[in-house]
Amino acid sequence: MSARERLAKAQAELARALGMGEPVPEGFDEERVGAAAEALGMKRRRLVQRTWPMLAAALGADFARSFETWARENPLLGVEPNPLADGRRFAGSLRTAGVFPAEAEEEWLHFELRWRLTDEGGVAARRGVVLKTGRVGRTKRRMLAVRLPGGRVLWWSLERGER
Amino acid sequence: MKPPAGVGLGWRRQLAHYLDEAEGVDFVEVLAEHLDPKGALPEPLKRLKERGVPVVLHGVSLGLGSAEPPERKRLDMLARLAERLGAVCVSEHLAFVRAGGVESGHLLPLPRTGEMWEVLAENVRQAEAALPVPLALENVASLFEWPGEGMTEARWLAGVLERTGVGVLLDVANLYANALNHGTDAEAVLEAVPRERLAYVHVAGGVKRGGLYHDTHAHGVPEGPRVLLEKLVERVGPVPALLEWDDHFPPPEVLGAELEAMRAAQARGLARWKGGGA
Repeated sequence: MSARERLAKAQAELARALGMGEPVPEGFDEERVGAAAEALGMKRRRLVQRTWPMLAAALGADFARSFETWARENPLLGVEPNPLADGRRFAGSLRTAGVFPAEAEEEWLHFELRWRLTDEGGVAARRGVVLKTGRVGRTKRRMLAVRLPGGRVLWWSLERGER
Repeated sequence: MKPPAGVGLGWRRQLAHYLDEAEGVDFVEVLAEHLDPKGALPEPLKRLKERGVPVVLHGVSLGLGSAEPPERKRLDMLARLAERLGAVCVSEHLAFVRAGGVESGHLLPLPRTGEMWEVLAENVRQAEAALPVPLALENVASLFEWPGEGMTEARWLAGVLERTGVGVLLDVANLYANALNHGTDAEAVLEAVPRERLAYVHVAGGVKRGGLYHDTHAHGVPEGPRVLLEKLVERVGPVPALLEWDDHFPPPEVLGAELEAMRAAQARGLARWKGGGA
């Protein structure tokens, strides 16, 4: 094995222990590595919480546990940790599982109108006109949102007798 | 553009207004990852540039201590941003940030070994060849160390300097953290860096939590990092120093007081500097 290969193996073991909760590689101080992993996890969670405030608030006390469980299985992707993208991936997993909170629907729509996830784990701005519908707010009214070129978003109620 | 001098502040969007008005900021450092490589520079940053305030481009995601060589597209992005900003230098870290497809989102420490020296030196050569301005590398703080560290941090840093032509961004807050958490001999590290290799200094705040010192960049600066800055200036003469603040931003008067305290530490060190000709 070359110096680069030996180093790659050792660094990957450490990165997995820190980011994915895998066993701490032999010889490291487990308690210290655990403290570092905890600090990293907290930082990642706090950034998502700040970027997706409605989602975090809707999940309430469950947010921390739910995010951490998801995060251990879904380490950050190969570009700069992007909390907007990280939160969107988390939100997507909640939708797939059917447990996405209705109170955060507006935040989801806002993301979908403006951004799309890139393969590298970042976000890219959508261009042109984007149309989305969803149930928004406490009353869960069905709304149509249109994002115009330039970024302005218009909302219409799709329910009779309302606007 | 003139080189950094005096006291600087890390540019953040939340601090843009402060930096617009502040008189006592001699240079700034911009995080590469916060800029859109294709879009326009933020307006407040353009204004600082027009005022002739020296700008350093600071990267956190290159991972020059990775087992893999630095990625071409990351280097190209840094090079383009450095040119657009008119940056005096690019700074990065003596750290790795990803391995085996896992992104850590953090600056992880390097094993202090001869093999690491060789890999790092080759990575640094590739980075320097791609960048239009000098590169400086920063010592990092970590809550843990690699097993069986047979080499001190000072010796390891000296070896990095022997094997590369890279400059040093000396983070005295990271040194202070490592001194508290690992018993690192901080003064020996200061002495390992010759003046001509020293680009500038980082100062930041932190907090003690659960028996460990965390370098948070979100709390006030303890006396320790400033004492190290003072000792450094006493040994090598004037050194520019920059305050990093990333979260829980304080009111302007608190920021101003932190910058003044750094200036005072520099002045105390300079008064005892033997090379001053006094």
